[in-house]
Amino acid sequence: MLWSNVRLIFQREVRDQLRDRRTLMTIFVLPLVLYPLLGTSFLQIAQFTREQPTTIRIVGAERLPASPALLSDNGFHDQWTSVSERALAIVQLADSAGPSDAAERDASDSPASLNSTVARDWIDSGDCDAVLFIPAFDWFATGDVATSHDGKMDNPTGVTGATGVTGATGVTGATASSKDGEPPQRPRLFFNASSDKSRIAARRVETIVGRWRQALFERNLKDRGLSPALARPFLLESMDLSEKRRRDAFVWSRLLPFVALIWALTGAFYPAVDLCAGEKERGTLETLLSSPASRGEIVWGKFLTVTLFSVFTALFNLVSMALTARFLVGEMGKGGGGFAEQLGVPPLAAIGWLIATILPVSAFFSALALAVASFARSSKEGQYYLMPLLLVMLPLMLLPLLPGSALTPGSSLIPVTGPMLLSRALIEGRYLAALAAVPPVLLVTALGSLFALRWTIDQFNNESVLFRESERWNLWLLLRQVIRDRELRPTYGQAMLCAVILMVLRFFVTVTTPSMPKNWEWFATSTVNGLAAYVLAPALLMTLLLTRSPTAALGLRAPRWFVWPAMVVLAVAIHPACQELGRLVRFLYPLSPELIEQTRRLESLFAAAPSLGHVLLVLAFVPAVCEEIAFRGFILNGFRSRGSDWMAILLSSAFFGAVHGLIQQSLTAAILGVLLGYVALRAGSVWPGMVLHGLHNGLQLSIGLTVEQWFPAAVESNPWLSRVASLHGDGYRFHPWVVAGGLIVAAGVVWLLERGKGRRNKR
Amino acid sequence: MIRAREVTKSYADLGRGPYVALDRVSFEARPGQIFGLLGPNGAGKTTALRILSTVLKPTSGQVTVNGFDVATEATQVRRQIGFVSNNTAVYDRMTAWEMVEYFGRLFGLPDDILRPRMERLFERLGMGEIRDVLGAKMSTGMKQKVSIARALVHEPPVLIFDEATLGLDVMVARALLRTVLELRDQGKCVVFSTHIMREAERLCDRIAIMHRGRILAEGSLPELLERHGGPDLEETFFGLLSRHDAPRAATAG
Repeated sequence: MLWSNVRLIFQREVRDQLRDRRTLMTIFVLPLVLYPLLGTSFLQIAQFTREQPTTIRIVGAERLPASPALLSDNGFHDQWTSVSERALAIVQLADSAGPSDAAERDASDSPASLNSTVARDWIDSGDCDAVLFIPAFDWFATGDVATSHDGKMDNPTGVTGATGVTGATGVTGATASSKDGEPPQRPRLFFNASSDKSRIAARRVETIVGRWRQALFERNLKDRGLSPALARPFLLESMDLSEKRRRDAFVWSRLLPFVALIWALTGAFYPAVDLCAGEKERGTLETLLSSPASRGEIVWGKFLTVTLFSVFTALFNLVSMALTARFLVGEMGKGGGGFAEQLGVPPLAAIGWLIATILPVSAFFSALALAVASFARSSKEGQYYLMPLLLVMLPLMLLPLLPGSALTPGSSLIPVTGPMLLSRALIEGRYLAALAAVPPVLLVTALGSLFALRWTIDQFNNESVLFRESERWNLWLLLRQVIRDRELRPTYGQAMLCAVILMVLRFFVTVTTPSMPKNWEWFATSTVNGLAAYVLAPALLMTLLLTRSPTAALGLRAPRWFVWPAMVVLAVAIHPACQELGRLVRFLYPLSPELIEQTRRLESLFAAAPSLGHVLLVLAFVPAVCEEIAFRGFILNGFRSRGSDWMAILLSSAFFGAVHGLIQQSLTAAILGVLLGYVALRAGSVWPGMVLHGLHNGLQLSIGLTVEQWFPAAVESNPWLSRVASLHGDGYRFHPWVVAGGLIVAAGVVWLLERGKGRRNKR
Repeated sequence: MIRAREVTKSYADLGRGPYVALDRVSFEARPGQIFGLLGPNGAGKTTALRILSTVLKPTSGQVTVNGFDVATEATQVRRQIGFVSNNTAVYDRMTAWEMVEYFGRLFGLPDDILRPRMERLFERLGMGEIRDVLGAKMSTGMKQKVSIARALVHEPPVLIFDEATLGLDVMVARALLRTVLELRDQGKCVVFSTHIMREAERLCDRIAIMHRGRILAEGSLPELLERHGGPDLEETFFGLLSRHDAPRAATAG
C-alpha cells in the first residue's frame, strides 16, 4: 500500500466534502446555532417557571397576632421576605376577594374552618395557587383559647400538609370542624401538587411562614424568661466532601460523552454514505477504480476522511454545547436556582479529555459506517442503514449511563462502552484507573476498526457489491432462484440468515421460559427440546431446502482414522486451560449474586438427576450434536463460501458465542468455537468437533459436579494429586504446569491435524 | 497490445439464473490500430472492457495488456491503460484542472512532468476555458473532455473508449473521433466500443461484431464485407445477428 496515494485520496475527499454545502451545514453551522438556540429557549422556559408570580389566598388573616405581624399592607411583611419574594407571593385576603359564601361562616367575619373541597375549587378555578387557612389559635401559648392545648406545631416549617401530599389533587387537610370537643385546629396550607404553579406557591409560603414562626417562637421563649437560643436546637450538618470540580463533573461526565458519541456516529455516517454509495451513484467510483490506486488505498483514504469529519462533528457539538451550558448555568445560577446548583458548570478540562478519547471511537464508528455504506448501492439505500447501525450502537452507548457502571477490566473490553467509561474516569480526575484502562480500550477499538476496514476492502473487491445497479430484485424471484439454483454448500447469505434465525429463536426461548426450572425432568425435557427445535431443526431444514447435498453442506464425511483419538487427547489436554479461561472470564465479568444463586440451584437440580449419565446426555451429548451440526456444519460451511477460512471460523464462533445468553458463557463459548471451527475445517468433517465438544462439556460437568466429594479423600491417599490440582471455594483449578503441559499437548494435536491436511491435499 | 483468450464472464442473475455475459471471447488489439467492438446493447462490450480495465475479473480465460495479466497484475495493467466510459464520471465538486491533476498524481507523476504535460493536454483538447469550472457546472461535452484528459495524463500505451460518444452532440462527438484518430497515429493501441455503424466504419482498423456475449465475426472492414457478404457494414451486421439468432428462435419455437 502506497501512503502517498492514501494521502492524495484523503486530501481530495476532504476538499470534496468541504465544498459540499450540506456537510458544512451539519458539521460547522448546525452545532454553532443549535445549542445557543436550545439554550435560549430553555432559559426562557426556566425564567417563566421561576419568576411567575403566585397568588396565595389567606383565610382568617384577622386571627393572626398583631405582633410579630405576618402580613402588612396586603402582603407578607418585609421582615420575612426579600423584595423579590414579596413581589412574587401575592397575598389575597379571603374577605376582600369575597368568595365567602362557599365557606362556612363564623358569626362575625371569617369562617372558623375551611373545607378542602372549597380550597380545591379555588385552586382549580385559578382564583389562587395556594390557600393558607388561619384558625383561632393560641399564638402565645397562654392557654387563652379553648383549642390551644394541642396547638404546638410539630413540623419544621410549622405548616402541616405541605409536604405530606395525599389525594389525587394533592390538596391536603381533612375536613376541619370547629364544633366544641373536636380536636383543635392548626394553620393549614392547601395546594395542588399536580400543578407546578401551586407547588411553587406552597414552597414560597412555607419559607416565609417558617421564618415568621421562628420569630414568634423565640419571642414566646423570651416572654417566659427563657433564652431564644432554645429555639435553635442543634442541626445535623451534612458535609459533602466532594470537590466542587468533581461535583460539577458528575452530570457532565455522563452527559458529554454520550452527546459526543452520538455526534461522532452521525458525523461519520453521512460522509461515509456520500463517499461510498454516493460515488457509486454518481459513477465516479469506476473512474477511481480504474486508476492505479489499490482498493486498500482507496478505503484507507476514505476512512481517514470520514474519521476526520466524525471527530470534528463531535468536537464542534461538544464545544458549542459546553459553552452554551456554561453560559446557561451561570445565568440560572444568578437566581439561586436549585437545578443550576446541581448541574454545575461543565469543566473545560472535560472537553480536553473527551477530545482525546473521541478519536479512537470516531475511528471505530467511521470504519463501521464505511463498511455499511460501501454495501449500499445508492445514497438513499445508505441512509436506510443509519438507523439499524444506531440501534446496534445505542446499547453500548447507554450501558455506561446506567447507575453502577464503572470502569473495570471487564467493561474496558467492551467496544464503545470502554472508551466512554474511560473518558468519564478522566473527566472525574481518576487518572490511575483511567491509565490502566487505556491499553485494553485502545486494543479493542483498534481491532474493531481494522475488522470493519477489512470488511470494507472485501466489499470493494466484490464485483456484485460494486456493480449492483442493474440487478432486478424481488422476493419471489429470489426465492425461486434459491430453490432452483441450489448449490452443493450453503452460501454466505444463507449462513448469515441461519445464524440470525438461531439468535432470534434463542431470544424468544429465553423470554418465554422461566429462568428457574421446577425439577430435573422439566429441565431435561426443555433443554433437549429447545436444542432440537431451535438449533438443530432450523439448520437441517435449511440444509434440505437450500443445498443439494447434506453431506457436503454439513460436512458429514468421515474423517481420517487418527482424528478420533486426537480429539480425545485434545479434549483432555485443553481441559485445564479451559478451567483457567473460565476463571479469567469470571474475574473480568463477575457473576451477579443472583446468578451465582441460580447456578447453585441448577447444580442441586443436576444432583437430583437419576444418574450422572442423564446429566451428560442432556448437557454434553445433545448440545454437542445439535450445535455442531448448526454452527460447524451449515453456518461455518456457508461462511467459507466467501472470504477466508479464518474469517469463517471467527464469524461462526462469534455467532456461537452470541447464542449463549450470558456474557460469561458467550466469551468462553466463542473461544471454544474457534477451536471447534478449526478442527472441523482441518478434519474436513463435522464429526470430530462433536466428539471434542461432547467430551469437553462432559469433562467439565462430571468433574465439576463431583469433585468436592472425592477429591479431598483422593489427595489423602495420593498426595501427589495436590501438585496437579487444588480445590477452591468456586471450583477446582489445575496448577500452572498442568495447564501449560496440556496446552503443549494440544499444540501437538493441532500440528498433527495440519500435517494430516497436507497429506490429504497431496493425495 | 491486448490479448484476450477464451474470456468468459458469468453472473448469478435473479431472474435468469446463471447468466453468461461473455462467452469464450478471444481477440487481439495491436499498437497503431483502432480495434472496434461493435454490437447492440447487452452484447457484452462493457463487460469485456471492464475486464480490460481490471474493474471486473474474468470467470475464466486470460487477458494480457502489454504482457501484464489483468487478473494477477491489476496495478501494472492500470498503468498501461487510459479508460474512458459513460460510467467513468467526473467529480462534481472538482475543477477540470484539479481532476486531471489528481489522477496524474495517483499515477505517481512528479510535478515537473505533470504540469507541462497538463498544459499541453488542456491546450490540445481545447479545455482552457473550463480549467477552473467545477464538474457540476460542466456540459456533457466538457465532462467528456475532462475524462479524456484524465485518461491521457499518464500517457498510456493503451486507450479504451467504451461507448464514448453516447449522449454527445455532433460537434463534440466529431472532435472526440478526431482525437481517437490522432491517438492511433501516435502509435497507441486503441479499443473502441460502439453500437453506431458509421463510427465503426470511419474509425476502426479492425472490427469485432459482438452479440449475446460472443464475437460473431472479426476482421478489417473489407475482410468482413468479403467474408460475410453484404454491401456495407450495417447489412453484414444484421445478417450475422439474424443468422446467429435463427437456431435459437427455432429451438424456442
